[in-house]
Amino acid sequence: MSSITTKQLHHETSAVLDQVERGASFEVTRNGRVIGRLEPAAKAKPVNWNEIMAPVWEAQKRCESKVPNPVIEERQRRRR
Amino acid sequence: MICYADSSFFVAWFHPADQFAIPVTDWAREHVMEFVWNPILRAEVRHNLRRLKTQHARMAWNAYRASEKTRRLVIRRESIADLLSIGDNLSGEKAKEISAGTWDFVHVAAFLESKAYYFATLDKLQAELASAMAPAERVKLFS
Repeated sequence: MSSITTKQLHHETSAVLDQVERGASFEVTRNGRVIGRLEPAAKAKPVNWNEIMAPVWEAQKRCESKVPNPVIEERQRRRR
Repeated sequence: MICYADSSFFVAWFHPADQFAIPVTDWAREHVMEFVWNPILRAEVRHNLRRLKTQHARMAWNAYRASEKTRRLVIRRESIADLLSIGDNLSGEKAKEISAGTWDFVHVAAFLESKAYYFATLDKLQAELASAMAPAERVKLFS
């Protein structure tokens, strides 16, 4: 992975993003320190369901009173 | 596996206090890698999540929003007109045999079009229609 300074990124934004679009990745540095990465969207690490749903799954375990599913309730009302 | 889940399923998936939350979650964690998402599902899920009145309503909404923001749920290149059209075609084929409603036909047609392996729903009529169009092992009904 190439590195690029914030100054270079500022001056060559369009050219850098063209390269990202073609599949290149860059580490962005400021004062010699890596502060972030630029990479193609398709390469971004996908977040898995566990990360998104963890609070919901925890709450399911603690939740004692359940409610009817509103979609099914509405459909049953309409079909009557 | 890729799953086309109906909005009833999605509400149970996101809302911890839903009566089907646990069976839906257990099944999905075992069988589903990815869900199909389209503009009609999105509108239905958003509407029904907004109607929730339990203390977990906000959590359900946040989980749904996180799913879109992280691109776990992504709308493919499907127009509403195309979805309605394929639903209408399926209705032309099966409306006399199965008493499911207009939107049930749209969802089952969208499932068939999406090439998803599973169709999951909490709705018996929808499951009946899906079972008429796909092998039984690919249709999951929670009831």
